[in-house]
Order: sequence, then C-alpha cells, then structure tokens
Amino acid sequence: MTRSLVPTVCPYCAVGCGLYIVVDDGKAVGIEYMQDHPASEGSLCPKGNAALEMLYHPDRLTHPLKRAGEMWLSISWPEALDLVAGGLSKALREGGPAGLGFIASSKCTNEESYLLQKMVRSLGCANIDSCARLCHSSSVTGLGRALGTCSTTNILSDLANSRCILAIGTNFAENHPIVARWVFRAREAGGRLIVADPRRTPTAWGGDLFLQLNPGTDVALINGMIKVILDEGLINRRFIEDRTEGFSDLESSLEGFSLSEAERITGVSASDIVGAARAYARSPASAIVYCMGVTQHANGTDNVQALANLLLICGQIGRSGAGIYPLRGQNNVQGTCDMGCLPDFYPGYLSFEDPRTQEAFRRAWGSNRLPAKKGLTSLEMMDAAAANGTIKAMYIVGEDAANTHPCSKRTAKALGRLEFLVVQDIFLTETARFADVVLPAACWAEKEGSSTSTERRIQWHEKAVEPPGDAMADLWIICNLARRLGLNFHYRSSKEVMDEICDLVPIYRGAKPSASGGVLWPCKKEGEISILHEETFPLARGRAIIRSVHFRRTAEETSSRYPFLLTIGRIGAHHNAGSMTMRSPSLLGMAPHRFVEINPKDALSLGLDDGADVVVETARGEARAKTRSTDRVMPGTLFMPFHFPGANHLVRGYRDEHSGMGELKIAACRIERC
Amino acid sequence: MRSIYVDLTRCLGCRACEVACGRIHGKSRISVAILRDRISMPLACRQCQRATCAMVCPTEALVQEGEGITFFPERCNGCGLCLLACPFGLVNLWAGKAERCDHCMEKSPACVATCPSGALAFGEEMAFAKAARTRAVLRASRAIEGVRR
Repeated sequence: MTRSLVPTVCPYCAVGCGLYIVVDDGKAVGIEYMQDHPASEGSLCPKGNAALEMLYHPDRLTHPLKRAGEMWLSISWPEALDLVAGGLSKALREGGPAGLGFIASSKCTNEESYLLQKMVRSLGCANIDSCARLCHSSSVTGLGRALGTCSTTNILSDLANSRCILAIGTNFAENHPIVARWVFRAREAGGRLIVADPRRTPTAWGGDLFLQLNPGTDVALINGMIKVILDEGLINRRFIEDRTEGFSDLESSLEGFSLSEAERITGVSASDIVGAARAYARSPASAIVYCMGVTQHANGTDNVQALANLLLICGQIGRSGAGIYPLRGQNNVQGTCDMGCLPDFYPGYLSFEDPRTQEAFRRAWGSNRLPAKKGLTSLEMMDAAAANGTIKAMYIVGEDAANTHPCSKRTAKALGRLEFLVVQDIFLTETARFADVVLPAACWAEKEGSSTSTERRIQWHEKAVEPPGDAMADLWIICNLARRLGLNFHYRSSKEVMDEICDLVPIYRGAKPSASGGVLWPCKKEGEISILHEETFPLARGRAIIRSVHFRRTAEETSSRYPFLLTIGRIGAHHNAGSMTMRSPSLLGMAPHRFVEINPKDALSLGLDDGADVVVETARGEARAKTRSTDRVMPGTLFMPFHFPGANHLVRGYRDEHSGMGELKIAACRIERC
Repeated sequence: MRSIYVDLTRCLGCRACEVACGRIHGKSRISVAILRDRISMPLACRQCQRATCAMVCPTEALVQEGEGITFFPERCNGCGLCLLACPFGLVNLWAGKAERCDHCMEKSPACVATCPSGALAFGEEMAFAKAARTRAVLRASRAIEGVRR
C-alpha cells in the first residue's frame, strides 16, 4: 500500500479541528495540518498533535472479555454478543424495560449514537443518557427554554467579528485553545474581552477586564450586570418588545437587588460590574462564551438562563458577532445530544410529550414498544442501582462513570450492585473493571462516520486504519446486538444510517456531511446558517423567553472543619477521565500527576511549600496531590484537575432540579500535609 | 532575517508548539516558559547574527553562513560547548549530538502551523514588526471611531 492522507476530525474537544492522518502501509505514521479548515485553519492544540499516540497503545482492548471471578477470559464475538443479549433479555424479562440503563458515548459517531438510542427505545426502554448530563445538560434546559435551541448560535470564526466578548466559566485558552484564535482577532480589531472566572487562568491573561468572582456566584454577577443595564437605560427596548417575553417580570424581580449586594456576594467590585455591563450592552456586537464553570452547578440552569436574560435585554443575538457560545466538551457531545441520547428527547430535541413525535418515530422505526415517558438521567440510573436495585442491568459505552460521576464512591457501589453490566470501550477503564462483559471498540480513526462539533458542524471522517485485534466499530457491535435482541437492524454502513437520520431528524434534514469542513445544521437550500435566530426563535410565538432567576446558595459552604472551597476543572494537557491522554507520552509528560493549586498566602500560613505532598479531604473522601502555589486561585480557594482518578469522588453532586446536572465544581474541603 | 517570532499578547502557554515539534523531531526544540502565571513565551533558536554556539564549536559542526547557522551533524562530537555558549539555553544534546531548531529546514515550521492562537509567525523581522504596528493602529482606530460616533 502506498502513503495516503486521510482527512479526519480530532477526537478530543468539540471545536472539531480537521487534520489529515498520514497512513503508510496501513499504519498511521503522522499528522498533516488541514490549513483550509473553517474552524481551526490547520492549527491543533497539544492534544490534537498527540491524537495518534494512543492508537497503538498496548493497553488497547483487543478481544471481548468475560468475567471469571477476579480474572478476565478472552472470548469470541459470537459468545460475547450472545452473553450480552442473554443478560439484557433476562433483565428485561424480570424487571421490564425500566430495569435497564444505557449510557451512550460522545466519542462515538452520530450514526452510532442514533442507533444505540433507537435500539434502546425500540426495546421499550426510556433510560438512555450520555455524558452531556455532566457537561451541558444545564444548557440543554436553560438555552432550550430561553432560545429554543441548544448550541452555539454563531460559528466560532464569527467571534472575530464581535466587539465585546464576555467569557464566563470558560478556560478556553487551555481547553478549547482554537477559540482564542478568533477571540484575539476580535480583540486586535478593537474588541474588548471580559473574563469572569474564580481562577486567573491563561484565558484571563489577555482580558481587558478580569472579574474574579467567588465560586458559585454567577447569577449574582449577571444579575448585577443586568441591574446596571436596566438602571442606566442600556436595554434594547425594540428587541425586547419585538422578540421576547417576560421582560417586565425580570424588571420587577430585580427591584430589590442592588449593585452593592452583587459586590458583596461575588467579591467583584461594583465598578468592575458596571464596566462589564456597559461594555457588553453598548458594544455594537457582543458575544457570550461559556463552559462548565457555568453549567456544572446545582443551579446550572439558572446560570444559563441569567446569561440568556442578559443577551436578550441587550438584543445581543442574531447578528454577526452577537450570540452565545456554549463550548461543548467532547468531540461529538453536540451530535450525541442531537441524536437523542438524552432521556427526555427524541433525536432532534423532539419532545416526548408531543404525540406527533411519538407517532412519527413509531412509524419510522416500525416499533410499537416506544416508551411514552421520559427516562432516567445517568445520575438517576446510578441512584436507582445503588439505592433500591430498580436498575438491574446497564450498558455503558465509552463513559468512565466510576471516575467522572460526582461522589464516585457511590457510583462504584451502584456499579457493584448491578446484576449485569456491559462496558464497551477502547481501554479497560475503572468502570470496565466492574463489568461482566467488556466489548472492545474501534476508536475514531478506525471507523467511518460523522460527528458534530460545538458550532453545529457535521463533519464526516473516513476510516484510516484497522482496529487492533478483534476490536470492532461500535456501529457493528450495536447492529449485531440489536439483531440478537430481535430488532431489524440491517445497516450495511454508516452512510446508510446517516441517510435515515437526514430523513427523520428535522435539524439534520438535507445534510450531506463531508470531510474537510463538513456542513452546518440546520441545513437550508439557500446555504449554511452560520447565525441562528436572525429573525425568530423556535418557540411558541417565535419569541425568546426572559425568566427571572435569583441567586441561591446551592453549593457547600466552608466550615471550621472544611475551611477551603475546592473547585474542580480541566487542564490543557489532559482530557476528561484521562483514559486516552494518560496513555499519550507527550501529554503525560506535560502533566504527570495530580496537583492542587493553592494561593501563596494560604500556602505560607499552612507551611506548605511548592510541590508539597498533601491530602485534600471533603466529607466524601480524600485525594492526594502535590501543591502548586499560585495566585491563579484566590485565598480560600483550591483548584484540582479531575483527570486523575479519584478527584470527582470529593464532590457531592447536588442536583440541578431542571437538568439533573450534579454540582461538580464546588466542595468544602481541608488540606493537610501528608 | 527569517525566523520564528512570537506575539506575546497571543501566547496562551498551551505548549502545542512543543508537542508538534517533538512529534516531528523526536524531541522538542522549542520550549515554552511561563512566568509568574501571567505570561508565557515559547523559545527556540534565535538564529543569532553572531552566533556564539558557532564561534565555540571546535569541529565546525555549527557554522555561521550568511544570515543563518548551518549544522553538520556528522561533524558534531557532542562536546556540548554550544550548549554552554548559547545565551538562551536553546541547544540540547540528544543521543550525543547537538540539537537546535532549524526551522523545519525551511518548510513551514510545525510549531507555527499548529499554534492555536496564532501567536507564532515565521518570516522576516520587518514583516513581524509591521504586523504588530498594523494591529496597534487597528485597535486605536476603533477607539477613535467610538469617540466620533
């Protein structure tokens, strides 16, 4: 075979950077940059450059595995699939469809996610969720209710046309570095960058204004800004009248709220709040960029609604440079949500409650068993499994729940109590260790399919290399399993599945995803929609919804036993639970072990020098780390990345009542030398 | 003089340049320094006009040729004098040979192509300075536009 370049999409974050894999004699030997890519222009972050390093890692799963006591036995695919089908059928017979739980993977393609939820729902089971629960579920509810869509309203490159960018709860400089490319273009053209974050991250380095707010006080900050905008008459009255509902309620709800109260709660000076509010409201085109710092809270939906209120009263949406950007975490988390791997939505965010939706899918899928009610979220599935055993069997694709769910010890208990657990992954993760059967999957470069980036860009990637050993593409696994469960899943290729998706899912209708740049949804004959909501919102009466939200203390507060607030997040070198990046030597070299950031003043008073071995303890448990003394964090606050196993068991995961998101950002803790 | 320049207002300290360089050369020849958690700067061979590394090289493995420095690996005896002489600490010894940035041999350097924020540029110093001036003017013009409006 000769040398070839295979266009593909980076498997890490949701920016969706294009690149070429250099394939020589069937082996991936290098990367070439895709310089005409619309989102990345050929650039790649450290993870993108290291994307091939895990492909040939010796830890890759190469055969289906069956548990035999403490050991694993390699088995054949027919045996594995029979075992899985048998286990799921038994659970179905004994506990009905409500006794099953499925978690889809945002690392899989749209076609695979679509087929998984189709299989699950065709079995009459409503319990299907994905890692979006712990990522942007608060955006799905918050933006869904306010604007009627949940995605970036404008494409990433349009950030360059913005004249004021409010980046809140996002450290894009480390986690979505390509975004900085467009933000800096805006800044260099005279735009202002306002960064709000409890940590002075590299994202804040280049900001014109940095608002270092106390963790969990986003609503108070945004309401403070809204208050300034109302008091100074900076609202866009015409936009409010023509295109929104609920403004008067917002106005009256903030009558008793003062700027000094916002200052007291957030710790941000009143003058900075005023400065941010004026800059945002007055600029001819302002954009909001946000991420997990906004969503991963027990009041995540309120946080998102507050941001929506801010942009709606200023009319900063529906034009070039004006919009809102929820930055998604995984390469295909947008697509996995679009494909309906959420317990409350059919593909395309079609509601369970609409009988027409039920009817359409019943007819299209030829199934009379589709569930009529919404199912459990991934966290609720774990609750049910741990508490009363109503979930008896689970099928988890590519999610390391044991490491990523809050209060991981409880998750471990849940996984341990399951009668039957199947894990489909590329490595033997912590979660897979609880499984009865482990199915080895092909990774992104080893299969074809489409994925949807955070900017609604559906991109096709070709298969570049063969999977290791007997590992198979998730599409093949799902189809073969579904057939054993009595379903008519005779798909020959991803393309065939994509055709069905385009036929059935309104927002994907007419999409013809291609490599090298892809296509944006919604697809219209007249061309790509790079800016949403130019004229209307897909809600009743076509109007966006302003809904007042109030600051509530939802997170844990410090106490004499736990005097610090721990906040958890990501760093540039690693990705989520680290199963891929920890196996990439160049990334592991950049960040080889867990650290905890502590303000130098706190470090001094506790007598901790830089690099000291410490233990961080919360009411749930403890984790060891090395200190990193830095004024990135304020006194009283600690920061720890969650990539290294055992960080998320420190957080309690208080639930957001609207989205089911768990509080992952804040926990009261103590720190001691060990 | 063609070289790799960095716009310090854009560098995020993400170290993509290091990983890209290491991917191509086995070991990175560019290194990002982060100072006081406020500013970061990638450093690679500055291509000095009077290069001390070449001056001290006893085997003429590093040779000043016009505006650039040429390296003849077969002559290098791995003595490491160049490493001591470099004022920026940008020469490494690897497998017994001196290693420094050679701009990917005049191909577009990988560190520049990969830089997510567009902080790195490869070209003539005058072009880099001109780009910086243009940015400054653009920013100022927006401010004036705001006042006039």
